[in-house]
Amino acid sequence: MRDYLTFLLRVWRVSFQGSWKFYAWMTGLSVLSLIGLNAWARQFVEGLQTTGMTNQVSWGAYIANFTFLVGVAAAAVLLVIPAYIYKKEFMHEVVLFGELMAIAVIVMCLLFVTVDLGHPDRFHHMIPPIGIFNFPGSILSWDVIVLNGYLLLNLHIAGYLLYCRYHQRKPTKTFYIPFVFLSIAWAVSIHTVTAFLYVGLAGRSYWHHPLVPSRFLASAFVAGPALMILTFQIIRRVTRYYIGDQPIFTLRMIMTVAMIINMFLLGCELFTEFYSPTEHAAAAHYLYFGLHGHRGLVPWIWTAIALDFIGLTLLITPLSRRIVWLNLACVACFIGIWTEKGMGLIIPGFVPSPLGQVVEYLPTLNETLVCLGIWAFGTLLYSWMLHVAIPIMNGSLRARPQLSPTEPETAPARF
Amino acid sequence: MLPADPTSKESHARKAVSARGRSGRWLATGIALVLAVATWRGLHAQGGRDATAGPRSEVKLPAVPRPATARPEVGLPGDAYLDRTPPRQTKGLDLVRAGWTYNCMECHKLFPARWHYDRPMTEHQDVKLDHGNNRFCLNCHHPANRNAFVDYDGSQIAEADVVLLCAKCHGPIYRDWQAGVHGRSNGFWKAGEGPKTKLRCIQCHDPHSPKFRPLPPLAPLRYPPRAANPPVAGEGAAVGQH
Amino acid sequence: MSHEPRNEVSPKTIEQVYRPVTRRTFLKGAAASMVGVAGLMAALKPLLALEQGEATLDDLLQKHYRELTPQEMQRILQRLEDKCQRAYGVRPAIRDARPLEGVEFGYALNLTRCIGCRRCAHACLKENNQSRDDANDIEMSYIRVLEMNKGAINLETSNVYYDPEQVPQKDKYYMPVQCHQCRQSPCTQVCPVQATWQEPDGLVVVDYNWCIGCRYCMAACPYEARRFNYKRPTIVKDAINPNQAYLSNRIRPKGVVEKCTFCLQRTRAGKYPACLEVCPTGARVFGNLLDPASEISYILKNKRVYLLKEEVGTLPRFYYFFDQ
Repeated sequence: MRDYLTFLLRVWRVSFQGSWKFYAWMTGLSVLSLIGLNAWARQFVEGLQTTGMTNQVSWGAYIANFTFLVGVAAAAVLLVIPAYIYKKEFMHEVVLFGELMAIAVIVMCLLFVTVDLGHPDRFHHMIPPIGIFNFPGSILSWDVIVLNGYLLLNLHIAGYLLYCRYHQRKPTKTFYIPFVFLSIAWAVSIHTVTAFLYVGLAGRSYWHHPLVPSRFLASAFVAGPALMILTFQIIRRVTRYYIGDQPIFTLRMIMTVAMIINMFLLGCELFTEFYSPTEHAAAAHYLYFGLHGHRGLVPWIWTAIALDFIGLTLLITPLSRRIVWLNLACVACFIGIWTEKGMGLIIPGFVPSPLGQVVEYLPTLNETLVCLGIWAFGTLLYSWMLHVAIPIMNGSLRARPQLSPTEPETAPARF
Repeated sequence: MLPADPTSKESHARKAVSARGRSGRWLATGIALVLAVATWRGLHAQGGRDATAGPRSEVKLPAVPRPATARPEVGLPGDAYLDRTPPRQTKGLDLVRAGWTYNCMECHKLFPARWHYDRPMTEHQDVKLDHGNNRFCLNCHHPANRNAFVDYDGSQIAEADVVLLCAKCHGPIYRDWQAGVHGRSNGFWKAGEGPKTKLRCIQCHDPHSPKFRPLPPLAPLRYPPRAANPPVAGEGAAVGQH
Repeated sequence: MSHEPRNEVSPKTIEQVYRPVTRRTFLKGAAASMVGVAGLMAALKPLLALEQGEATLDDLLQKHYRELTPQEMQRILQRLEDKCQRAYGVRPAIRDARPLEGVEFGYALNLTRCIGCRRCAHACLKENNQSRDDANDIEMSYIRVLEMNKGAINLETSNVYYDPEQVPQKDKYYMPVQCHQCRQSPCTQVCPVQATWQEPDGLVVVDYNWCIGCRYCMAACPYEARRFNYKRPTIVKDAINPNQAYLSNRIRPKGVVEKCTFCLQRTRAGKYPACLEVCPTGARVFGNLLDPASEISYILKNKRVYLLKEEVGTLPRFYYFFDQ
């Protein structure tokens, strides 16, 4: 116990050790987070009228970001599967970063849901026995369970492995391997359940579509690796932890396959919607071409599709074997899918409204600031976790330090 | 198509759903089941309930018995702000308000009934007869007593029973009206709680031209001010139309 | 395979972690914390604008409607009346109107008769104390009147903004839509906290003091019957209907969902709902589905009834029918 407290204290202290660049980065992110918090406080006082949401479009940027990020969190599984199921040694050097990313992203998801609530002060109504938890009737309650469960799983796995590493001892398999395998299934479940949130609503024909969960996963398995590839390069550039090219190119392969599937499913969706133009195609019509003179989302979706295609082209050609082009592909895919899944999936579900009214939605400044703040906070959280985890992983932060400046251990972290 | 009474209709509908909607929902739940076997019992408890047992969401709320009125009644809503004036305000009724006795015979005793006049030359110029095949005043007004209406057999229908006059031709509507589903009812739907009032035919329809008069609509819904891309002024009516 | 780290690990910076905290570091840390706390306070400053009594401990600890004892209910109603008086200057009489025995409400609307005059949508506002910016702002009204093109029942080509001199227009017909009080109600199914549920008389109600404002029910409703209080309701003192019920027309807090309850403050006392009372054409028929002699039963027996979006499987208690 005492040992653990020392660990926490050291983690706490190492959090504040760093170069001026580190301080500048963290301060910048903190300031952005506080700006977001400020915007949210304003929203809390004035109500959700500070957002662009209306009775017709009752979910907006918050839920869009939430949906996208659940996918990113689920994509951590793409590091776990090669590492633990296919026993790829080189994946073990990055798998922890994926898990940490999942933690940060799930926290962002929970924040996005919380800021979307009209009464966040009544959050406890969901927690039995004080509250009433409508389980299993409400898919939202399923989502609460799977998201928090995934958060706990990753906290446990990452925390346990790091703590073992800190003590320079081999982790006990029974303490984490079952959880690793559970987390694989769980990762798929978080995104599937999130898709069921929408798919289950028979009144919204745009969402009530069996393809949605599969497309959710496919696009998540593009956006997640894209972000990972980018962050891994940042990690190996700015920290004292080496990540080889192999994990990056494994992720590239996964991404390529997922992107092909994603675009194929998109094609299926478009064919179904437009070949027989039923009343149910109105939302797709609004999204791609505009409806009754309203074309607010048209530029968004075509940008997204263009970016998706640029990403796909780069990925399937040998061009992306070069890291610069791969990075470009990642950026294109990430932004493309963020747009397509955020604005392109959530908003058209409400346009036209069930009674045929076309009311458009764009986030307001305040809403954007809240979103920005949460993104900044998530980045802050991930940066902090990396900042603490990397010294532990490369052996410079440990239980029994060698204080004399001797040759440090150079073996790469391997779990 | 429709079964004889609403309760049996409902049970039919419920059976239909248990056959179709419920099985669909079960499929969805079934897929989800794989994700958390531990919740099997909870699911079973929910899905296994008889469909007639009540709304689904009443799963596990312990209902605390509470007497029907936890507080004394404070009286029924005084709802004078609801505009319940009958749609038709006739000039005649205005005259009645002004003290006119509405005794038609004051004039008509001087003018005997003349069948061939379908268009009065002096009085009642404003009456434009546009009521199906009724071309003559005396199709409805009694030839001898202009304060009353005429029945099939030439007998009189008192002015207060004007509904019976209309019923001569409009049988199905009269039946609906009797049942309370044609024309507005006001007051209490529940017998014994208070009075229910019904309007008579001529309180909505002008008998000389019975088609319901168009009304100016009240203010329309507005495009939500906080929503993006509000339509340009004047375009509002075009929105939502092809 | 093994990697040679590109950056040599230099434990120098890390080493300080193992050493006791120096005075200098401590002061630096303290100063940084001050800045951090100040930043946090500055960020949260808007919270100062929260009105007194807007979020009280009582509100926070209040139980779900169906778990309240009579004494608790009594106290809550008292509190709500006080609150309304403070906020709006009117002391309402809020009752806990309970469902009647042997009653299941049904509503039918005659599409042949409706002329689209919107009297119902406006009466709804007057009766149910919805928020409005001015007397003609019917955004929060529970009724949307759709102008439809004759020759089809296509909601997608309907128009809610129509405003001609007179209605009905020649080639249009009109379809008011409000909560259908579904038997298989998707909204109650999706609510994560059961803040909305079906009462024994079939009315789908919301406990405004339990709703967390996630708006999932709004996404689930195929009839667009739910409204959300994006702000604290604005309503002028004179426009407030003081006869209120806990589950229906009491003035809502901000951040909760509300909906049509067939005016349960009226209908559970035996009266007709407000929208029916003002309908000039008598297109609306309301009554007890369980009573075979009721007006609504007459409709179901004798008229050809149409259910809006029957394919969604919601089994509404709201019927449309045609005459002639």
